[in-house]
Amino acid sequence: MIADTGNVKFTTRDVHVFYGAKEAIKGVDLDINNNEVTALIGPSGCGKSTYLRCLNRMNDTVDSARVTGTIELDGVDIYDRSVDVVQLRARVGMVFQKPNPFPKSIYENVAYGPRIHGLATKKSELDEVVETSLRKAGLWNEVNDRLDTQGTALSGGQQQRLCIARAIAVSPEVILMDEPCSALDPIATARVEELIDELRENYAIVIVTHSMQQAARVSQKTAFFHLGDLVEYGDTEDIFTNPREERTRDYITGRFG
Amino acid sequence: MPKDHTVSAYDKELENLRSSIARMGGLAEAQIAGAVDALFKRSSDRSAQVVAADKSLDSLELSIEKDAISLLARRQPMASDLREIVSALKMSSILERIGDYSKNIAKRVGAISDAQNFRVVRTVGDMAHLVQKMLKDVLDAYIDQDEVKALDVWERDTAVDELYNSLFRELLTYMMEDPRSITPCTHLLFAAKNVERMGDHVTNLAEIVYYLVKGDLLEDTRPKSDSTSYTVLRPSDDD
Repeated sequence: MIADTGNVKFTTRDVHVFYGAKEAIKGVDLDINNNEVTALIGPSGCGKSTYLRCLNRMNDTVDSARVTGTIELDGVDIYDRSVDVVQLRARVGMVFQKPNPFPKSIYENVAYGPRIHGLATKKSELDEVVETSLRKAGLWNEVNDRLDTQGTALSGGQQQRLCIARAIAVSPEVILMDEPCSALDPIATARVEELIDELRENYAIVIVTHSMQQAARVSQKTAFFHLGDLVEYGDTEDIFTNPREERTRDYITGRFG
Repeated sequence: MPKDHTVSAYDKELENLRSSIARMGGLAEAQIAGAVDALFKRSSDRSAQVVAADKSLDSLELSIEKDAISLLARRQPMASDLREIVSALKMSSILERIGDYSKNIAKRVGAISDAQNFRVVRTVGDMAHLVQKMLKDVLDAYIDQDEVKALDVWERDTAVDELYNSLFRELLTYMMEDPRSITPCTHLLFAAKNVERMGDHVTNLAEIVYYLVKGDLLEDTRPKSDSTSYTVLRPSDDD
């Protein structure tokens, strides 16, 4: 299940994840391409979020979790001893299911990352990063006159776009999204989807979603997981009109037993 | 056949769609037979029946269209379900079209029957018989989800085209021999052209069934052998 273009960002081979004795991912080979949205779909407990969390070593925070296999970002094994996890997570940003802005001002939410990573030191530089990031996240026009208000005071959809702005402020190369729209209404969802499509120009994006329609709308590649296996991977259009595997077809057409 | 949906009402709606298509197909088949029967028996009653029965095809098409749109809007179908619904939409409009051709043949029965000393050329009946059989087989292929049977129908249209080519020349000859035959011959030529067109539509149905089952579009490489668009007969050809 290897991507067909030469534009590979992540190469993952024979990835297994164990939570204690339980094997949550059972040997996944998958490539993630640059400038593409890869959607991970599958029923609850299929391993799609676990797989996503391998890509920026979020599973390190779970004591019982053990990851084997190789996960390479631009050809470098991210589980290698020499890799700085904090640097890795700056390169591979993440947006979560529930918008989780810091209890700080809108400005500080975005400026925090670049400041601690030393990407911008002068106030003018920070101002610029904040504005660019908010613009890229499609939020600037809605908040530019109230950057001092609390991030938590924004609407749910705005908070999620603020979290996306926060993620892109540290100039990541990959953005991981774990059900980024499940707490949003349809209009806010449409804004985030529009944003994902724009961001694709500059990043590799991996999105976990329970909404098959969303996967069909936003992604170019789709990977279907079931019980820890990667069952099928391919062009999104093919997966949703003519899946090759019976399990994929049963799942996306609503026939899961 | 795939397993049932978690939402059973969805299965029922798809099943209704399939059976409506099958009903339409059966009707369209009967209409071809009826129109040709009226033609050979010179029966105005029979032709009036065919014209009247076309309304049920029209209303079935409308109800299939409504159901399909509603399914698309409410169920967000994927994969084989999506293909099923899109196919039903296309097939219903093709079957409706096939019905229109039968109706048009029925309407010409009067003009052809009025002509003295004119015998309806048997070839029209042969053509209609072939097309009717193709239609029956493509509907079986649809119900059985059998792409091999659909491909077989797809390849059989050549025979219809060949009959049409020979009929075309035959009728031109009659018209040159006896100008009084021009009116019935022209009507008969239109009737035959209608049958030939029905054959083309049936091959489209076969392509749709193939797509429905396999998920791949059949590229249009089918050999075409209707050459009447280029056929010229001169009096000297007749020697």
